[in-house]
Order: sequence, then structure tokens, then C-alpha cells
Amino acid sequence: MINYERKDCTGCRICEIVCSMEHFKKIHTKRALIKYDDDWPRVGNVKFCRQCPQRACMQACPEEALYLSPEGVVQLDRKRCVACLLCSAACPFGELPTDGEYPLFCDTCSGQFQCVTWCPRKALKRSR
Amino acid sequence: MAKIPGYAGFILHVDLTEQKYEITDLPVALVKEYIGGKGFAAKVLYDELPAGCDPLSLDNILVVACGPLTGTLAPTGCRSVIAVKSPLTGIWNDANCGGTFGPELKAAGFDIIIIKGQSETPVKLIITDHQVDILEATELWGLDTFSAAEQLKKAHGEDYKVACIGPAGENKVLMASVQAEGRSFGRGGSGAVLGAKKLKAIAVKGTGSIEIFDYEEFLKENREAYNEIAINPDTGGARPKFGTSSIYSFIKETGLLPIKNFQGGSYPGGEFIDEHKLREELFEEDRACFACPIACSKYSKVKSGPYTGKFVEGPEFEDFWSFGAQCGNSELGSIAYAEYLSDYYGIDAISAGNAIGFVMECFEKGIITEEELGFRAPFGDHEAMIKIVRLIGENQGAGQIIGRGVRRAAEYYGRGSGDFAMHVKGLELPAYDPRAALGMGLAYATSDRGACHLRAWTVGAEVLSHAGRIDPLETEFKAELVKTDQDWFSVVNSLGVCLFSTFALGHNQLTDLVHALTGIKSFSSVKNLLFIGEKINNLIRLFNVREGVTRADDTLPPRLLKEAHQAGPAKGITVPLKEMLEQYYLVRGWDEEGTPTEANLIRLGLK
Repeated sequence: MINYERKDCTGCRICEIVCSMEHFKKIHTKRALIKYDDDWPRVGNVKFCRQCPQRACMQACPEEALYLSPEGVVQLDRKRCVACLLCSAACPFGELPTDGEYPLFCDTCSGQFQCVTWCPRKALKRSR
Repeated sequence: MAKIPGYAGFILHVDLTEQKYEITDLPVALVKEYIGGKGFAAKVLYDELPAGCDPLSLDNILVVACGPLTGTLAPTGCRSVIAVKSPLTGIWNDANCGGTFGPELKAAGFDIIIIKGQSETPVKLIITDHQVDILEATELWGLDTFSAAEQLKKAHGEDYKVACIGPAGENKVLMASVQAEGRSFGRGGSGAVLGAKKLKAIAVKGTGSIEIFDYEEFLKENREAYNEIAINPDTGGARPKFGTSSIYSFIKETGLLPIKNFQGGSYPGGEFIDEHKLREELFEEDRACFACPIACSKYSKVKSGPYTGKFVEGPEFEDFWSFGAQCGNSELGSIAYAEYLSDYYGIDAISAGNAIGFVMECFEKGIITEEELGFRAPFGDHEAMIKIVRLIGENQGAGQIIGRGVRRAAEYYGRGSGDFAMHVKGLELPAYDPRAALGMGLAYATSDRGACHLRAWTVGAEVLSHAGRIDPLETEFKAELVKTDQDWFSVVNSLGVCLFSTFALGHNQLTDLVHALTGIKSFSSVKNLLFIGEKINNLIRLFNVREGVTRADDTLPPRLLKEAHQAGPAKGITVPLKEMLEQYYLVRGWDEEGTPTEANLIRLGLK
């Protein structure tokens, strides 16, 4: 899973940028699977699915729209999802980001974890 | 038309008189010849601004522009510029801002906004992708910049990024800034131009994307650039730790820090304040602009003394000086609060602090009296300093004189005060005393917007690099150094990255980044980019010549030319400007009057 230390975060949004680049091969931060919310003048908070082992989201989903990929990554079946966001409410780390309607789940960049790789302050880190 | 990689692709033209707008494609030719940001603004203002117009009339044009690297992964790719004919100086002015406003503008689909005309009643410009609304903003008029942005977001949505003016801009205070998401388009009074146009705020929100020409190459170049920034002692060490004040002690030791309006000497407590003290006493968190791995910005909170509880995003090095040493003031809380108030009212904290130092010297010399001010204002009186910031911000009392800048204040107060009114072409000097690094004297004298440290920063080569290679107290190589810096800085300010990235990233690295992103042939080598930088600077010089600038304006305050530096390595030195200036005109290809020669303009493709 990915850990996030708010005290190390500077709010640079580099995670948003690389996430969008990895998924769309261009810069499209508004479609990133990770979102930074600012809290000026203080540093804000990053909202994202940490791919944690608890998977409270899967239990909370009434539509069984969440499933585990062969690599053990929680993924969303959009056809089943009704955008009730009960998964987001159940997330022990706070809200999940959305695309305005549906929740967004990290796909670990097929194990590349680009946000972790590029985070300049190591506020995002991988852990077991 | 296919989108040009690296660019949003569109220009938004707004006419406030007619309350109309139009969206046009970003021309490929403009991109190839002027890169973006400052370059775009130079071309637009040179071509479209009526010569000799009153900067506060409806004829002035306000350009907001981003560069290709703005809003991308390129480290520090967050910058946008606002360019106008300055009401403070009457010449060209571009003010550059970090944060998130520029990236959001590109996400909304625009590289440039061109704002013309003047509204009769207060308005706000709301940009939601390509949906543009010019709406009445009477409810925001009169509000400080923080409240205005907050109210606007409450009404339209938290996701908007807002650039707005405060009471200073509304009252056309000539040193008014435009504030955007905690950052400033600070210098030269662009806030007053927005005020004259009755445009309180520009809010943007966008969902668009930026194409990448060579994805793998762009990623690789970024990886290298991020590594350079991480391992560089400045960008990876001192700057994130101490903020922009990381150089404070060094600047002080080398005699570069101006004290008490460039008089020199000492002031109570001055020996105890430095970047370490700032960090211990004030800093709470590191904040970064968009795409910036450096994070030089700080959230600071005052924890003791009369200003306990006050906060600021900052204080920046320049303001640490302008409200500190410049005013003979060592009360850190007051420095933080003065910077906060500058942001609150929307005024340029460099010009404001510089002007307060001027007033304090006038006060001590009996040129300005207690009766005129309404209070005493000797050096070191931080309460007087805060009062004057408020008076400037609210355009009240003596603030009505001081807020018009030191050039006009000296004309008003007279009695020889012009000799120590520290400005060039009307723009107040920043935090480097050029008597201790002569190149800065030439940099101030020839900068396109008046006294500015961000058009050429010779301090790096003269003082921070290995001692003796370029002697800070000699004139040799200074003309060449200033020209090269100016040309490259205009490239950097057109690319949309922060000048601080250049502490770690060489010319080649920035070139490789923009070339991989855009694939544009004219961006493929440093030589090509420097050519564009030189072309931009010459075009702006033509703009300034058209506005009446001559050799006589390329000068320094009399104090720097006549009064010797008081102490330290530069003791006894004045700035021998004449010889540097003559050499500068020579390497620039300008005639003796400082006008670009015909041959030079032909070479640069400007004729």
C-alpha cells in the first residue's frame, strides 16, 4: 500500500501531474487518480486510494462493483457502480477522490507507483 | 487545428468597454518566435498598445500569459506573467507569479488573456474552460484580496483559482499588485491597471489537458532535472530549509544588503537577525508552488512579541529586507505582518518597504515632519512602518503620496530627497546594494521595467561563485554578464518556469525539457533560445524607446553614483556606471543613446 505523511507534503501536486501522465500520456491533472486539496495558508491534504489491505471499501459496496485484480489491486467495475460513494465513506483514510461522479481507485501504475517515485519530499511512500 | 504540444492552444480576448469576449487560436508563428509568457506579452503589447497612452486609461492593455512549461511536470512549471504599461514607471512592466493560477489558466484552455477597455462598474471575469462570463462584482469591490477570493469561491465554487486586486488596486495606488492564491504579481503597479479597468478579479477553472510531443524523452529529461534540483546545495538544501532568505547572511557579509535606505551603518538588533532566526522564530511549514520540488515558500506564524498570532505565506527574502534592514527594523513579527498586510491590500512589498525606508530617512532629516505624517517615523519604528503600509493600502493621508512611489514622493517632498529616492525609472530598488556587486548597478540601470533584480542577477557570478573569477568590485565583463543574464532570464520568463530552477538547471536542461515537450525546432538549442530571448529584450526596448526612454533614464539613484559604500568589502566604492553602460550598449548592438540599431533589428528579425 501507499502511505501518506501530511507533515512532509508541500502541496506541489507533482503526484497529480505524474499520475495523469502515466494514465493518459499527456498532462491532464483534473483526471488524475490522486487529488491534492489545498488549505491555504497551510498545506492541504492528498485524497487517494492507498490500496490498503483492510479493503473496507469492498465490504461497503452494495453493488459488488469492487473487485481484486490478479495482482491484488482493488479495482472498480464502472458498469456496476451506482456512484453511491459508500466506499468513500467507509475508507479509513478519509474521502476518495472522484471524477465528479464516480470514485477513483489507484491502480498502482501496474506496480510502478509513479506518485511515490516522483514525490520530492517522500510524503508518499510504499509500505507492506 | 491540432493542438501544439505544450500549449493550451487558445487566446482569450476580453473587451471590458463592450463587455464582450472572443476566443482565437494560438498562432503557431507566435509560438515559434516568442515561446510564451513574457515573449507573448511583449509581442502583444508592442503591436497593440497605443504609444504614449495613459496607463490608467481605457487604452492600456493587460496581458496574462503562460509559457509552454507552465502547468507541466517540468520542475517549477507554475509561472504566469501579467504585462501592462506601468502606471508607476510609464514604461513596460511584466510581473511574474507562481502558485497555481497559470497552470489552471492553461487547464482552462488559454495561453494568453488580452484585456482591453474599461468597465463602468466593478466586474469579475469568470473563466470555466471555454465558458467566459463578465459579471457584475459590486459585492466584491472594497474587499481585501483574501476576502474577495474567498467570497468569489463561495459564490462560484471552491475549485476556481483567483487573481484579484485589493483596496490598493481599486484606488489606483501606483504600487498596487495583483494577488493570486497567496502569491503576487508584485511589481510595477499592474493592480492599479486592473483597478482603472474596474476588473476586481479573474477566476479560472479548467479540465483540459496539455499534449506532450515526445513522452519518453520528456519524462527522462524531467527525471534528470528533478535529480539535479534534489542534489543541488541551493535548491535541494538551503532554499527549502530557509526559504528565499537562504542567502541573507551571505548577502549581509558581502556588503550587498542595503541598510536604512542604502545609507549603510547598523541598526538595533540587526546583527541578530538572519535566515536561522527566521526559521527558528517564524517558519511552520514548507509550501510549494505547482510542480515545484524546491518548496521555498513558508507558512509562518508569529509566536512571540507584539505581533503574536499573525501569519503570512512568507516572509520572502526581499520583504525580509524591505521591511527589515531597509527600515532599520529587527522586529521579525512586524516584518511578517507587514508582508501579510501588503498581500491583504494588494501592494508590492518591495516598493512599499523601500518607500517606507525613504520616508524614515526624510523624517530623520526633517524633510517630512510629524505633523505631515500624523506620527513619528524614525528608522526602526515598526509601529510607524505598519501604519504607513496601512496608509498606502488604504490610500489615506500620507499614503496618498508614498503609495505613488519614491520618485513622485521625492518630487512632492523635495529638499534634496531626490538624491536618496532609491528607484530606477520610477521602480523602487530591491534588496541588493550595487556598490558591493557592480554588475547589479548595470542590471538595475538597464532592466526593462526599472530597478529589478530578476532581469539579470549578477550576484550569482560576482559573489556567490568562486571568489576572484569575476570581481564584484571591477567593471570587467559586467556588460556581457548582464546582457547574457537578461537574454536567458527572458527565455526563462517565457518558458513558464521559476528563475530559482536555474540555480540547479543549466541552459541545456531547460532547452531539452521544452524541446521534448513541444518538438518545436526553434527551441532545439540554447543558441536558438538565447536568440529569442535577445529578440524579446530588443522588442521591449523598442517599446520603452517609443514611450520616451533614452540613455538619460538608464541610470541609478545619485546616492549610488556619488556616496561611497560605508563598510565591508565594498567600503569606499561608488558605481562607475558610465563605462559599464557604454560597453553594454556596444554588446547589445544599441547606439549611444541606447536605441537598437537598424542592423541589430534586422539581425533579430524585428525589421
